Amino acid sequence: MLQVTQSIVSESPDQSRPASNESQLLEPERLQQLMCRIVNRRDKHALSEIFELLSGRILHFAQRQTGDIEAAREILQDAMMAVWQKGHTYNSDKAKVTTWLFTIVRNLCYDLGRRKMSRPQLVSGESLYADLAPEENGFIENDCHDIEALDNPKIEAALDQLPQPQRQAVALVFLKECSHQEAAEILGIPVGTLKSRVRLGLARLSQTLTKRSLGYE
Amino acid sequence: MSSHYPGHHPSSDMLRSYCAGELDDVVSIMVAAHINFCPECQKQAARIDDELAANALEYSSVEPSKPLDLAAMLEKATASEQTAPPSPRDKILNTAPSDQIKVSIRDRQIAVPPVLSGIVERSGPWNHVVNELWQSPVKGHGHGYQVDFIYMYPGGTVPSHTHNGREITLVLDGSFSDSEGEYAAGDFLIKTSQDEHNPISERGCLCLAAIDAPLHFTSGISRLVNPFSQLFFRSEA
Repeated sequence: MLQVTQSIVSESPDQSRPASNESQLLEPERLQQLMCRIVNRRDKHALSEIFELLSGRILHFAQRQTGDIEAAREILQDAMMAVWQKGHTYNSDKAKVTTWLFTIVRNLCYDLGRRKMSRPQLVSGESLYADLAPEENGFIENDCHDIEALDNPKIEAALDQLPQPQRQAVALVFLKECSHQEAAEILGIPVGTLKSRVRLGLARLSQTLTKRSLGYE
Repeated sequence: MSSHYPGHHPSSDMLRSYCAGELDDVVSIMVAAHINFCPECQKQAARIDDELAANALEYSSVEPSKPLDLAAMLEKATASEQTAPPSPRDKILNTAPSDQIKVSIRDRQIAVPPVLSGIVERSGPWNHVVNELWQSPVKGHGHGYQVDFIYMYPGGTVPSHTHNGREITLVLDGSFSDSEGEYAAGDFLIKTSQDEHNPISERGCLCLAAIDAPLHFTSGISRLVNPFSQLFFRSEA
């Protein structure tokens, strides 16, 4: 049988919502700061703290998905490694830390679940959910300090037209010649976010400069 | 692939099950391929991910049943600073998005969403079924139902039939219509035993279909050849 019915019909009750009143909403800002420290400073304490906050829930979710506590532990271990190694792909402009981590854990569950059932591997979890990464559609305003004035008036004028987060990112990397790592640290954002802002900023900048040089504006 | 946006979508329950990782792999792949065509479902699924993540992770930790040795796990997770090179298995499974996946039929090459690569790899030669209808069975997917690429040449028809079970169809290229409507690239439809239809394709079309029981032909001469439906239906199991 096509197993569609099974999962469509049973709208599973939300077993993961904590029963006790002790559970508290995790602060998204706190999680984001920890991600910054992990990625930008390779801070093991931050990794430890994020997993002290989340490991119980990740384990709970993974056990529910795979039906197997050993598999769930393996997934938790792999998730931890993924945060350490692939943290630079996290982009705070695109997703919350919890959503990013959820997709990692869900994809790991998918892969391990198939392997445990000795199923043919038709697709990896990562490829299966590849199209769900939200579009790059802009930026989030934040209140970072303004960078110092620049000494090239032409570029400064073009930069002025960029949204602030992109302006800061481009200026730090290209005018102050900071590395991505350094710039991310100065702005207090993950490297993935910084790279995306630089990319968006440069794209806009080249539009402006090209149009101008062609005399359209 | 065309700029047409699909008009037939998986139900929101099905999208939710896909996001939660609860659908079987073939159906998941079909939903993912639909999403590749459909910005609307892409957005909805991203919202569902957000919700599922909130339910699963946003509240402070629950105690694991057996205490964890987090320190040891951290040690292991951070042991190798170098990113390990991808294993051969990962290379096979993680097809880069830029890699074009194509289905070939005679002299035509039809590009399909990359998530279908594992299905395309397992598809066999094209068999003539009836009229302008051709079928390329997908083998080795490990499910007890049948998965086929279906190709209808322009002007093709399928004799009127009902489905004993359930048929999920994803249109990949071209279009076809039945009394219910017109279906084009990206459209995702489910037919059940209540639906009788006789699809016609004026422009020709390529579909991927998962079907869990033989078709039951209900009209004219094709009733006489109902045994033929056994040809159409070859179970994997």
